[in-house]
Amino acid sequence: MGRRLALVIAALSLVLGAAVVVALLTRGSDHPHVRALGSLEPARSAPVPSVPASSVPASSAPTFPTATTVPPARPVTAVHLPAIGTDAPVVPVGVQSGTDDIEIPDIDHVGWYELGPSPGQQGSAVLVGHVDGDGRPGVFFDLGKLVPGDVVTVDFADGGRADFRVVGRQQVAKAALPADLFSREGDPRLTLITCGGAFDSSTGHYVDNVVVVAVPAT
Amino acid sequence: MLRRFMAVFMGVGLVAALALSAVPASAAAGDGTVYVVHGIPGVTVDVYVNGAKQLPNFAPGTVAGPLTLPAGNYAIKVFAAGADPNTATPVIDSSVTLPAGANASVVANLDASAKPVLSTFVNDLSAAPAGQGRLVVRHTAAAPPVDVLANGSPAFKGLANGKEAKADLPAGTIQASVVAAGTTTPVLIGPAPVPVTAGMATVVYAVGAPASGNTPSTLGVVTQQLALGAAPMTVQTGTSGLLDRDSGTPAWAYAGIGAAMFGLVLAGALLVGGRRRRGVEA
Repeated sequence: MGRRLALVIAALSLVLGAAVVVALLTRGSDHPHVRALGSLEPARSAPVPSVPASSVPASSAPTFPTATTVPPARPVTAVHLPAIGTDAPVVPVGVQSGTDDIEIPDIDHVGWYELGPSPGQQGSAVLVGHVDGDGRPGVFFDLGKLVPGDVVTVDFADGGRADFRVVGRQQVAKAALPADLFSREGDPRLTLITCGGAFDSSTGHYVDNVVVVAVPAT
Repeated sequence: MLRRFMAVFMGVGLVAALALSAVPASAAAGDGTVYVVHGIPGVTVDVYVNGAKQLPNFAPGTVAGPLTLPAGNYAIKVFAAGADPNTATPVIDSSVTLPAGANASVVANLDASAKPVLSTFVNDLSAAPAGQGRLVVRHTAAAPPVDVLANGSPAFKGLANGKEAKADLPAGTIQASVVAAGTTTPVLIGPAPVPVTAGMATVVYAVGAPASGNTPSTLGVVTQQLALGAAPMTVQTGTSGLLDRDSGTPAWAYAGIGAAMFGLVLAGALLVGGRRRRGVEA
């Protein structure tokens, strides 16, 4: 009797062990941030027009546009990502002195790279936010769940507001983050960046960036 | 491993897509990009390129462009606005060579002896360091060599007519002034605020001529801004690893593995025990 019970226990234990092995082998696709990548569309970065960003057509010289200077910055104060339930205050950020690191605000704020375009201006306007920090999720924790078609709304300091539509999302090694994401040229686009991928505990950083590109909603 | 591979794979794809999209579809390989700068005070002009009026009523102090043109040599004539090109004497009759793929600014300006000429400058649009912009100063005024002072200190020295000087600087505004080379007074131009915009070249042309006899000074500046190549940057936005919790072996896996080992030991013990018992019975 005791022997039969022991056999049952042994069998159950082996089945449980096998289940664990199967789960370990297949769980790589379980994580929402990973599963989402399976449906990735290529980040359709806006095509660069033949007329560079610094020019506008001039009425007086139809054959030859008049070059202008960079439009004044339009600071951003908030960003809304209804698809992932995120509403966050935005503060201007620059570059950490002597590095090529963009300044990142605390984990409850999004940073607008004020040394680049404002959202809606020619080129790539950049918003950065923490995925986590201090052991808790940051303001862009769910950024990787955005999919093409999702709405991104920004509020400006001048009281204005603009809607953008997600057109692509990518996960890319930090070392290979394309410089064009910070370009002043090309059609207006809004680029949201956070961290993702594997976490390297030896450096205390993630190895990848998650990049979401949005274009003005029409 | 698979995830890492996919991330790298997609990163390469992203880079390739961006690189492709950065090439203007309408520009043939080798075409050049041209801006035209009017740096001769007091004369509104018509600009003819290879005999065709391309730029009518072009006002002093303005910049036109960009125009995409095949590389090559172009005949440029500049007339007073409205003049008949068949009968009038051109203000400038010259030619410009546009190198393949170049981004150039062609300036109508006064040379050191106050004669109207065309000066061609190739624009360096290579990336500046992250957060920095490029200040370019071009001497296109009827004046001897000058020094350019930035916030009161000499930044560029001994700049002669037809020459340029440049530097990459942190974004901000500098107070710039122009003096004769080797002096600090009198100030010939400025002081004036000059923006240094990250990712942009701010090109400042010194134009005009100093006072002479009863003729007042026409010295001044024309400013042009051009987008530079983008500088690579780094974004560090996570320090807790919350997204990557599953990369370690979770507790339920240890529990399961422990159960499996227990099961194996138990099964082994039952087998051994059973055999021994059978042996006794036999």
